[in-house]
Amino acid sequence: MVILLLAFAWQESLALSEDVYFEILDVPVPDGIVLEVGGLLPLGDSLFIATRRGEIWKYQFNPETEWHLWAEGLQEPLGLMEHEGWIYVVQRGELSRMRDRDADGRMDDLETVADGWGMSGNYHEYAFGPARTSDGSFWMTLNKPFGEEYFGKVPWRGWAIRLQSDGTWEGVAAGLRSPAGVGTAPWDEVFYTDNQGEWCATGKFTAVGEGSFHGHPWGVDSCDLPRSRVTHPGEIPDGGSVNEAAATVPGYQLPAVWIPWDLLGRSPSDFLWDTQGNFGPYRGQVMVGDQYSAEVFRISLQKVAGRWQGACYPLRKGLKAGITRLAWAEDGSLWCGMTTRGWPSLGTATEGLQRIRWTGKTPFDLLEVRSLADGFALHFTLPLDPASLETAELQVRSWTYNHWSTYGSEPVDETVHSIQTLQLSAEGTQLVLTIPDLRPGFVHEISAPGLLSTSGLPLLHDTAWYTLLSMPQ
Amino acid sequence: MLFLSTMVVFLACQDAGPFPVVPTQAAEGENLWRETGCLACHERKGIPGLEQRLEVGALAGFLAQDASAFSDLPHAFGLDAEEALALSVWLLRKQWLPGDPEQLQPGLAWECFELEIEDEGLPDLAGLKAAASGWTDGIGVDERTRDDHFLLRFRANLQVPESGEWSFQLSSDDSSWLWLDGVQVLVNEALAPMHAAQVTLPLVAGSHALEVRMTEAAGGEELELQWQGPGFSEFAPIPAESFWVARPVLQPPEHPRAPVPPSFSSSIPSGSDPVTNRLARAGCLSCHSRNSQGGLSEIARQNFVGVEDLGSEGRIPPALDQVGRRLRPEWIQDHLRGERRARPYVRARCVELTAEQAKSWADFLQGFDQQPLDGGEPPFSPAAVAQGQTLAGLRGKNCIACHSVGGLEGPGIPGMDLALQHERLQPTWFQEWLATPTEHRPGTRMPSFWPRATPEARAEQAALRTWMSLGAAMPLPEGLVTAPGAYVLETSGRPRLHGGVLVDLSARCLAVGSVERTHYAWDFENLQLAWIWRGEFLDVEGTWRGRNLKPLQPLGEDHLVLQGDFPFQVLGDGPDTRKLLGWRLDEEGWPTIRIQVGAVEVQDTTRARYASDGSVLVRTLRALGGAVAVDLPGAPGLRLTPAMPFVLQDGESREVIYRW
Repeated sequence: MVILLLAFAWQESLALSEDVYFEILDVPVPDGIVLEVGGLLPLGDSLFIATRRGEIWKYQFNPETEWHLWAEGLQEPLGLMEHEGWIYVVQRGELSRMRDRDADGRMDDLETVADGWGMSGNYHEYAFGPARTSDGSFWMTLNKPFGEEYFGKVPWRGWAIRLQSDGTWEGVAAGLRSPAGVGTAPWDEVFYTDNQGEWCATGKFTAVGEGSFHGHPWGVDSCDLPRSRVTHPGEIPDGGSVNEAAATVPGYQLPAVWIPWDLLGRSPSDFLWDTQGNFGPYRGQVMVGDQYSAEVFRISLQKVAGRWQGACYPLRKGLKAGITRLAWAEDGSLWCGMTTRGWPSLGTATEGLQRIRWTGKTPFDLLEVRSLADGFALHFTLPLDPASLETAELQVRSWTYNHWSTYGSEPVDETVHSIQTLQLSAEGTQLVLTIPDLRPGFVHEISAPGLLSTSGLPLLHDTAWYTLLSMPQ
Repeated sequence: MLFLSTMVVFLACQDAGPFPVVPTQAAEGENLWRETGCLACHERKGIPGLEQRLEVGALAGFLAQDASAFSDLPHAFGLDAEEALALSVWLLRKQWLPGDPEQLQPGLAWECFELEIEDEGLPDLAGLKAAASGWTDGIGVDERTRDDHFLLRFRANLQVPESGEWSFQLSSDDSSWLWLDGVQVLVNEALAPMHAAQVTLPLVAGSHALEVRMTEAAGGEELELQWQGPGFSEFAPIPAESFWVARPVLQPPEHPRAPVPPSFSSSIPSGSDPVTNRLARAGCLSCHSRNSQGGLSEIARQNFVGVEDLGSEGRIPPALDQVGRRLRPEWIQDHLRGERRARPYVRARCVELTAEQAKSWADFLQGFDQQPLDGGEPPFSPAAVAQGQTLAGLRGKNCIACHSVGGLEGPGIPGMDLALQHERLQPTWFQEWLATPTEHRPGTRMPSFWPRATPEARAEQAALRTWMSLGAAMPLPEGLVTAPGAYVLETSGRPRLHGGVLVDLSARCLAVGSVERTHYAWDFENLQLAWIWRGEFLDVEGTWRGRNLKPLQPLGEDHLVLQGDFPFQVLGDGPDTRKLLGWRLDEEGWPTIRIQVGAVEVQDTTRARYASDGSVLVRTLRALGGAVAVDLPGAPGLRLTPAMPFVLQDGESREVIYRW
C-alpha cells in the first residue's frame, strides 16, 4: 500500500522520481569565471574545462577545490582529449595540442596539428571533436554557417573530417548541419549527433560512414576537392520524404536514430557510451546531452542488415542549463558541461557545470526496444506484473519526415499500428509485441503507460522511439 | 538615419516641396541651438523671418558645409547632416504643417520597443512606449535600437496597383506578423533562424492599411516582406514607392532664397594686441576672451551647458590668454581643423577650418605669443615614468580624482584627459601651470599641489611630464575605473591573449594586449603580425556575446595596419611552403609564434617596452634550420630599426624595433 501511494506521488512529479535514481550535484564556480563549457577532460584529481571564451580552466577538486586559468587566447575550443602526454583541443581553425613544459600550472606550448578547412568568420562555423580511433586517426565535425560570412564562402563546412598526426586530413562524410557531438564507439567506429534545421528534419544520432552524404547540400561542392572521400551526390531534391531522398540520392545515409523534436529534447550534443555500468542497468547504452532541454537521454543500438539502427529514451531531466559536453568522472558520475549562449534552453542558468550520479537504485524502466522480424521486443529493468498488461495502454505508431530546405519537419505519413499478440518472458523482463505492418525507414514510437512492476511501481519512462531502417530476418 | 541624410542631399538638388519631418527633430534642433554655441551670435528664439526666405534643404546644406565654403566668417561648426537638418527644422518651425491623411508622404512609420522576448508569441503592446520611432523607406531590421530583445512595428498605407490576387511572404528571425486593413493575415511565429509564412488575398486596387511587427529574442535578426501579384509571378520586394504615410511637413516659402552668412561687426576697440584684434575680426571673441576682452554675452553664458562639476571650465570656451605659448602649434592646427579636441565635455562647438587656414592661425599665434623657452622636455627614464604613474594615482597627488587617463575615468569628475597633455602643452608652460595654476587661469578648479618651488617639487612635476610623454601607452595610475564595458579586456600583469575575428584581417587571429598599453595582433590565416596599437586593448563583445560573431575593431589609438607580402623568404633552393607550427609562451607570457618556411623554422616574439616619447614593440626573430631573408611590412608613420630587408642566418636572433 505504501509503495502504491509513493508510485502515485512519483507519477505526479516525474523529475522528482528521476531524482531517486539519478541525483544532480552542482559545482559552484567562482565569481568572475564565465564557464561556457566547450570541452571537458578529467585528468586525475582535476577536470580541464575549455570555455567558449577561449580559456582552459583547471578545476582541481581533490584534496582542495581550486580553479586555475591554464590557458587563454584559444578560439572557441569545443573539445578536449588527452593523448601521449599532450592535451588536444579543437579550435575553430585548427586541431592543436598543448602542454605545460615548465610545470608551473599554465600551458606554455601549443602546436598546430592540422588546419586549413576554411573559416569565413561566421558565428556558426563551430568545429567539434576530436574523436580518435585505434588506427591513430583524429575525427572532427565542422558546422555549416548561417548568416553573414565576412571573408567569403569557404569549403568543408558541414563535413566530418579524419585527420592524421602529420597534419594531413580528408573529408569523409558530407551533408552535416550542426554536428555538435562526435565520439568513438567501443568498437572503434565514429558517430556524431546533428541538430534539426533546414535539410535536417529532427535531431540525429548516426555513424559517420566513410563516403556518405547526410542530406544538407551546403558543402557538397567540396566533394570535388582532392581531399574528399565523398562522391558528389548531384542534385538534392527539395521535398519528399527522407526515405525517398535515401532511395534516390547517391550515397545518402539515413541516421541510425532520429531523435524526435520536442518529444525527446531538441538539440542533441555530446554523447558517451556507458561501458562500465556507471549508470547501473543502462550499461552498454549511449548517454546523450541536449543543448535545449537540459537533460541527458539515452540511445540503444542494434545492427541490422549491416546498418546501425536503434532507439532513444529519456533518462534524466532537470539540469540547470542546456548541456554541451559530457565526461565520465572517475567515481562513475557524469560531468555535464553547459552553455546556452546564443540559443534558448530550459533550466535556470546560462552556463556551468553539474554532475549526475546514479544512486545505486534500479528504477522500473523501459530498458531497451529491439527490432524483431515481426515486431518489437521490449526489455525492462525489473520484472513486470503480468496483470498490468490487461490495463496498460500499449501503443505503437510510426511516421517519417520531410527532406527539404524548410527549417525542421513535423512528423508526416503517420500511422497507428495494431499489436497482434503480446508475449511476456518467463522471468517477466521481456515483452514481445507482434506487429505485422511495421514500416522500414520510419520512426516507431512505442509507448506502454500503465505497465507496473511486480512490486507495483509504474514505469519511470514509458516511451521509446525506434528508427527502423531494416527488419531483421 | 540613412534615409534622412539622403533626403537632405535629395532635396538640396530638387525643386523644393513640402518636406516631411520627424517631430523629435525640432526638439533636437532647439537643443543644438542652445547648447552648441549659436547663442554667442544669435538670439535665443532663432533668426526672425528666416521661414519667409529659406527652405529646409538649402539651410541644412548650408549648415553642413565645411570651412572651404566660407571665405570670411566660417559657419563650419562640425555639424553632421543629421544635426544640420535638426537645427534647420527648428529654425524653420513656423513652416510646420501637421500630418494630413489626404497628403500622404512616401515611407513607413516605425517604432522599436525594447522588451524581454522569451518566446515566439505576440507581445501585448498596451501601455508600452517605444524606445525609438521615425520614418523609413522599407521594412527590415535596420531600425532596431539593440540586437536582442526587441519588437519592431511598421505601419503605412500600402498602395496596391491593380485589383487581383496578391500573395505576401513574410520571413523573419525570430517571429513576425502581418495585418492588412486591421485583419491579422499572417502569423510567422518561431524562435528560429529565418523562416517564412505566406498568404494569398483578393485585394482591390488602392490604399490598404498595413502593419508588420517582428520580435527578436536573441541571436541573429532578419525581417523581409515580399509580394507577388498580377503581372509578376515571382515573389519580389515591395517597392519603396508603394508605402505611404501621413507625416508632418515643412512648407517652404513660395520664392525661397539661398542662405548667406550674416555680416559681422566687432565691438572690440582697436589698439589691443594684434592677436586680440585678429581674433575679434574672425568672431572668435564672441565665445572666447583674451586679456579680459570679448567673451560670451550673459544670455549665452546662461545657456551654455557642459559638465556641471567642472564649473564654468566645464561649459564655457576657455580664455585665449597666452594661447600660442601654452599650446603646441601642431595641437592648435589639429584643434582648428576639428580633428582633436581636449574638452569633450564643453558642448559648444568651435569652428572647423581648412588645413591651410589652421596652419596660418597656428603660425600667427605662436609668432606673437611665444617667448623663449627655458626648459624643454625633462630627460626620459623608466624610473620617472613609474614616479609619475604613482603621483597621478590614488596614493600620490590623486590627479585621477578629476582627470581621465586614456579615455578611462577616475572616481570623480571627468576633467581633461591626461594622456593628451604631452602632445597638447608646451613643456615650460606645463611646469609653470602645475606650480601655480591660479596665476595662469584665475578661477580654475585645479588645486595647487606644490606651494614651494623646491627641487623635489620640480622633480615631481618633471616625472609627471615624463609619464605623460608615453601618451596612449601611459601605464595606468591606481584608482582608475578600468572596466568601462562588460566585454573590454583589461591588461594587467601578464600579456592578455584573445583569439577572434579581426576586422579586415581574417577569421583566425590572436590579439595580444599588454600592461604597457601597447598591443598587437597576429593574423594566423595570413601568417602576419598585422596590427599594432596603444591605449585601450580590445572590446571582445563581438566574440563573447550572443550568437553574432562579429569582427573586432581595436580600441585605443595609434592603430596601424601592417600589410605586405609574407615577410620570410628561404635563401637558396628548396620548397617555400609555409605553415603555422603553433606558439609558445615565455615566462612573462609573451607568445613566440612558430612558422615553418620550407625547411626553416622562424620563431617570432613581440614584446612591448617603454621608451622616450612613447612606447615601442621589440620583435625578436630567430631562424632555425637555415637562413631567411626578412622583409617586414611597414606602414605610414612607422619606423622599423634596422631597416628592411635583412638576412637572418641559421641560429641567429635579431631584434626589430617598431616606433610609431
